[in-house]
Amino acid sequence: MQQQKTTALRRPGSRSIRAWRTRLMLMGLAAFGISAAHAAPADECFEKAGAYQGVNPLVLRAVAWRESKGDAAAINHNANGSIDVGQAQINSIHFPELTREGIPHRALTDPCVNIFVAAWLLKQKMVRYGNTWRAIGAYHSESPHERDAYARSIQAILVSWGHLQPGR
Amino acid sequence: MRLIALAAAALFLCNAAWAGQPAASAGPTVVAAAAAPAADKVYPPLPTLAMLPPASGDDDEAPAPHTTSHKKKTRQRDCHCAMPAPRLVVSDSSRAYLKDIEQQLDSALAQ
Repeated sequence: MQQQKTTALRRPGSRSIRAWRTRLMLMGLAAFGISAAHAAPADECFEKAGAYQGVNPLVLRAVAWRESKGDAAAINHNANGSIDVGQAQINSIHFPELTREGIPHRALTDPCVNIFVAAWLLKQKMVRYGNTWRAIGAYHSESPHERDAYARSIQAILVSWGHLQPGR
Repeated sequence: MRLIALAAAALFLCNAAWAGQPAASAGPTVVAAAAAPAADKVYPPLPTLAMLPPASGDDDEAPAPHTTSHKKKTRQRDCHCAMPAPRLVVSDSSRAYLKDIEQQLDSALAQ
């Protein structure tokens, strides 16, 4: 998920909130059991993250499928030296901002945290471009060619899953 | 009739205000969390503390100031009998897996 710079929308967080978040993430890591043997289905996370940010959970599912086939432990290197982490392949360019938001990059290997972060990034694009395919494509890249190709690939996944009519 | 219209308008305005401020305060968080997210607003990556339902634990609270009185306080505990037990899976294998992931991340970042 290589991205160009995205709009930074930060909120000052108190120490207690950050502590709570850290705890939540640690609990999440434990509760969702990210070991291969204990990996809990992250189905609910798509719904919850989608409802929380107001993005379509099916799009989040398609993004996770497109990026990693839903592999929560996926870590990939990019040509520009950055890395993509987790099932939604969150790019390391976002690590500093996520750290400021109280989310250490290690937490991105938790499938649920990863999807919430993906929803957060997608919502940033939706605020910028509206509820459009352009916003979905911009999740991957702001470059028009790559953006449109990515949007088409997400569209194709949704069509193949029967959630979208071909040609819409 | 005018009174009813005023009451309805006030109720509408209140709802609109809640919808726009999902993390406004701890009190009405349940109402706020249930409201639809604003289309033009990006919320923090993870829900904030204020968006949680009222906490049952109090370990984050600041310690109460010491008083000179020696009254014994009876501490009421909430009964969570009806709630499902949280499932925490932390095993040696999951710890080893996490350690492995951390090493992968560290090495990936180091490259």
